Amino acid sequence: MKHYTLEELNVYNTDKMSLTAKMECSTHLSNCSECNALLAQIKAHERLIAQLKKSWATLDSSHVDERWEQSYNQLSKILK
Amino acid sequence: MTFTTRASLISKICKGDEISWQDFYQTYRPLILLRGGDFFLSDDEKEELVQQVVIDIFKRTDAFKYDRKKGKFRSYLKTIVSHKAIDLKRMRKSNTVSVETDEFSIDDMPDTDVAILNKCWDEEWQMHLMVQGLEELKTQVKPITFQAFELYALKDQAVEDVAKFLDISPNAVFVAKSRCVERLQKIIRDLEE
Repeated sequence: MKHYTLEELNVYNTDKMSLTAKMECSTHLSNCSECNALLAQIKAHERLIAQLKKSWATLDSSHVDERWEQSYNQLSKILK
Repeated sequence: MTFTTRASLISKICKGDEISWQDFYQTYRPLILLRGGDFFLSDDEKEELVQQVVIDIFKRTDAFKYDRKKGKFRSYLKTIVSHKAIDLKRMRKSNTVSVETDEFSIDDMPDTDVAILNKCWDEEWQMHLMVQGLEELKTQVKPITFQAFELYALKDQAVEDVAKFLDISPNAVFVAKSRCVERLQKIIRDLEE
């Protein structure tokens, strides 16, 4: 049995496969535990990436604004 | 979205390395501000909270070394931030004319509120670990691997564009994503310990 590659399953997962190819892949997946396991891993990775993006958007520590500087300067005076 | 190259501060803390207040401020300010929101602090109070936490931890010196005998840094920080946040709420109460003049502490809060606050902190800490883990990841994989991961997975660039830009195959982009996520999972597990 020919297995699908990481690249092919990523394309399948992002819904960018042609309809025919997608149907063939779905049929294969219904009978192949190996490809199913790889697809499950890809989906799990996508979930973690989504959490990562949310975390970065919430806790981006590279943003420096007026409040950041004001607070930093006050601490500089105290913590010498 | 930009990533720095400095090693994660939490990993330095775990190793017992000395950390500077500047690094601490840069790294933990967003987390402390977020935590201030859990206590419904105003923007000014959240800034005050950051200041008080940094001063408390650094005790008027410019470096700090965490003593692991005190337990997990995560719990240590949570306790300090929570107490300072409650102090600020108390100060707010004493500065306003109110019939509710009783002082309160985290021990007086209903169990459900404490449970919600703890759950919020767990989620916030998890997000903090992810951001820290990402910085650590950058130091552990080849630059091109991280770049492929960053452009494709985090910045949502088309795989074909990333492959062309980095002069690698689309499959290599997917492999980079897979490797980075697996490494990141390991880094986060290590940071949790």
